[in-house]
Amino acid sequence: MGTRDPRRTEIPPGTLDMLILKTLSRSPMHGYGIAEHIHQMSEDVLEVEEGSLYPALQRLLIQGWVSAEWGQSENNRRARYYRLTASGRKQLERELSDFNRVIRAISRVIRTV
Amino acid sequence: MRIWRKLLFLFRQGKFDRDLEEEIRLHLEMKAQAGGGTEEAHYAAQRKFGNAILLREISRDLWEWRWLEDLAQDLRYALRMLRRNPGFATVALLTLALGIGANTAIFSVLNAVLIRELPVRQPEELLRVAPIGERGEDMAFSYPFFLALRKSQQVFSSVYAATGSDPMDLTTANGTQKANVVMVSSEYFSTLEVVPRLGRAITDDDNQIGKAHPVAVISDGFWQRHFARNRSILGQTIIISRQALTIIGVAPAGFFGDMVGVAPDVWAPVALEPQLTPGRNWLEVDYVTFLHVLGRLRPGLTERQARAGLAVQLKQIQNAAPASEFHNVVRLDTEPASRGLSELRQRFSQPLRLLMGIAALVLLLACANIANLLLARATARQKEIAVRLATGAPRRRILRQLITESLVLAGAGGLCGVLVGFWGSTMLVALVSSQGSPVVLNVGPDAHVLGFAVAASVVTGLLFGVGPAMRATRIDPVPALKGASGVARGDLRIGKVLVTAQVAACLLLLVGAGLLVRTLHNLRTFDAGFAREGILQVDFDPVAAEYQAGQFVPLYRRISERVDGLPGVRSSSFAFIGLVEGDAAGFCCLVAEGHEPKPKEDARVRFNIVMPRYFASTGMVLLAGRDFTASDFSSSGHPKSVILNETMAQNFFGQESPVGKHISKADANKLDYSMEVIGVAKDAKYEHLREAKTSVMYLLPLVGFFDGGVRHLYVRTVGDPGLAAAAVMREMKGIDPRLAIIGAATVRELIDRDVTQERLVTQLTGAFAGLALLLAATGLYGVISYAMARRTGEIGIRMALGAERGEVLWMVLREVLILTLMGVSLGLPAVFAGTRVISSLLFGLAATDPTTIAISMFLMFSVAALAGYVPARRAARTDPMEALRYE
Repeated sequence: MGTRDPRRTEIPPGTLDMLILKTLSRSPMHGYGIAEHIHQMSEDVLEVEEGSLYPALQRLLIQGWVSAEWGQSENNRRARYYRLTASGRKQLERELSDFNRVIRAISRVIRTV
Repeated sequence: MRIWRKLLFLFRQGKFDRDLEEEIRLHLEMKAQAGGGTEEAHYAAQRKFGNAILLREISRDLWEWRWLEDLAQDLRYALRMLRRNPGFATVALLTLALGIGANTAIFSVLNAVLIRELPVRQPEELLRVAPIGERGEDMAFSYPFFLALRKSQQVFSSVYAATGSDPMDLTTANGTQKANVVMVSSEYFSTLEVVPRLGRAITDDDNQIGKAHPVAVISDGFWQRHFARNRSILGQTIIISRQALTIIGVAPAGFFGDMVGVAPDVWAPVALEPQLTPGRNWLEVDYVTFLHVLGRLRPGLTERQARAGLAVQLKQIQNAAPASEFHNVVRLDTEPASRGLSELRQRFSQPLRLLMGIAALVLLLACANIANLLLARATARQKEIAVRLATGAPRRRILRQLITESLVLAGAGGLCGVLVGFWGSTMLVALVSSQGSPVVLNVGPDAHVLGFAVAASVVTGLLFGVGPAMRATRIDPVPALKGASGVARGDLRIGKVLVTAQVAACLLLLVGAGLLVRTLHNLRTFDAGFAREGILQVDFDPVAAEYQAGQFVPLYRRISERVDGLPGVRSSSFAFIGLVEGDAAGFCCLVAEGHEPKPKEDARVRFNIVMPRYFASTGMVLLAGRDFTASDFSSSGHPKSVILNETMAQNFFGQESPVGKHISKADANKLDYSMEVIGVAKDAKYEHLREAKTSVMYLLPLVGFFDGGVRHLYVRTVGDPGLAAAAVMREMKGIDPRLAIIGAATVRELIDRDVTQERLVTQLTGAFAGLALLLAATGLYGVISYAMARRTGEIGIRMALGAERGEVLWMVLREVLILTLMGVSLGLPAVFAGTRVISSLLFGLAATDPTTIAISMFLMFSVAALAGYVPARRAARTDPMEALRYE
């Protein structure tokens, strides 16, 4: 673990759920796809720890924000696809607006110093 | 919804696991492909992913069913531990089964007597109407008073009157036996909303004074016992007191009337009273009160509104009958009757609560013992626990494991306890039942009883489990693993504290039991005003032998002459009311010559109808005047001579001598007459042994005046009265073979029957105290043995240094006695506070009776010394060489 890519950053706590929900808001995806999507969209900055991805997905399933069903992957493998539910979409909006509010607040603090 | 998803997870756990696994495998493969598909990339991916098993565990934790799996694991583990320690498990289980069982048994009876509601529709709507007299006494209804109430009442949707349940001779085709007969007004079944399972109920038509239909409704139990549930019994005949009754209905199963503790066999219209109880005719007199009245509250009315309505109505009833005895009633009270009426409730509510408390205390003692056992076992298991702590098991997890073990133990104990409790409660009811008046109670377990048993088990398990579990997990794994035997001294201290508390509680129970034992002894020996020894009572029924008014007194005389002639008989006589049998009936409106009655004065006088020589034949003492003679029999229809008891003499004449003075009955019932006082008898207990002073007068039987009701023959003998019984009954049969003899018993036996309740409570308390003593002794023995085993090395050194065996013996015994002394000094204040609760149950001694306390303390110390002697002797026999070799 010592040879860590310095440009890669772990996802700030509490935002993983939001990132997953945001990713799924475009289209249903399997676990690997979600991790890869976050990785690419963040231009290789955000690294989703797989060890936290699946617990997070289970958490979202319990909350009923995502649903899961088995389907066919790109390379014809059986893969579990996660899909955003209606209540998940609402939750995403809530989390996004909370997040934006916090970010704006933080940047104001940083600017004024 | 979330719960639903979680439940789904629980039941399809295997599928979830497989799904997750497949998902993860796919993830890893895709990762590997992205990394170039080499084997190295594959391993790198797997490394990154971390421990797949742990991931699955975490994922499962999220679904929050972890605790259930842990619980199953804990349960399996607990059962295995119990199997591995059969000795401990057996002792603990036995203790718990007995402890919880005793509690459940007493609670079952308490539930049936004090808590359970009548098995009728909406029992909470039922109210008893209680006429309250001038001195606040709760009285009964006369039939005319009930009729007046029924005619004009508006607060009840319906209201009925019923007698208590009287055992009467009942003849069916199968012969004659005793049966419980209740006489009821026609509204009885409709008010209770009980519909006969067969036939019809008693109607208003059946219940008209003077033209009552001879009909009867029988109970389901009677139907089964005597008619084998034959459905064609409607229309068949049963005979009570020579009156044939036609069976018109069978009450539903489970219905036992409105009184808890008695099971009526037959219900008959109250208008049949003159026929069913010959010699009585109480329907049209307002001065004999023998009925209780229950009503079903009109929908929407509260009990308070009912009382207000009854108050208005009482005024109206009294105004309409200015010269009646209705005026003895000051107000009409009501009380909820949802749980039915019960003499049992009055008699047993305090003893039952007391026994409940005692049983709970014994269970606490048992808890202390099991806690001590667990503490000792925790020491033995400390290595196991240390290993688990060292390998990273959270303390909470081990704590939960240990408490689960305790709860499993308590649960198993509770299960056995319910069985013990069911058996015990049935036995209790059998013990309460006295000959001739069986108590019938439904003590079967219901929701209350089962809930109680579960609660008792859980509380018990936590009580004895939590402490030792906390203790066991509060160890430092390192020294424990090194094998140091130095357990915290605290272990022993807790054990000693528990034992001290046990001794204290045990002393309390010993004193309580001692007080009750001495009370029973006092009741059986104190001077009740009549002789307890050397007297035989024979009950017979001249009415059943078809004697008529006017023929009774000559019959009694003939019997007396024959019986007096028997060898060993000193004298014989007759009475209407048996010794300590009592009767609720009484005379009112008596006025002493030259005495103006004050208001609120106790004008009600109880009475007995006796033949001459009654006082000599029962060992009662005449203080002044003389006994009845032949010249005192009156032919005017009213008594002319009367003998008073001391209390009545004092109440009516104060310090003056009443002999030669007159007492007159002056009321509106055309019963005006005057009687001459010819003697004063020493007070004798009338209804029960504990009663306060009560006014009683003795009268001779007259033609048509109770002469047929006299049914008790008293024979005073020189030797054992029981031996004379056969000869006496032979003489009676010799006079008239038709004469039915109901029973014969010595007065000693009758008194023993009268103190059934006291004896039962005393025996149970005694048994509980014995159990407590055993538990405390076991506790002491255990703690001292354990302490000595730990001090073997020290004792070895002492003996090597020249300590005598006697010194070691005394050293150990001293420790036992100090513990006991601490317990006793803790227990004494508890005794002074606790025995006050039972002071109303005591008779002839104070709740702080020093003799009883001294004896109890002596007993406690003796048993403690005995319990301590075994480990002390073991310690004294320590071989110093051997003991030191172990160090």
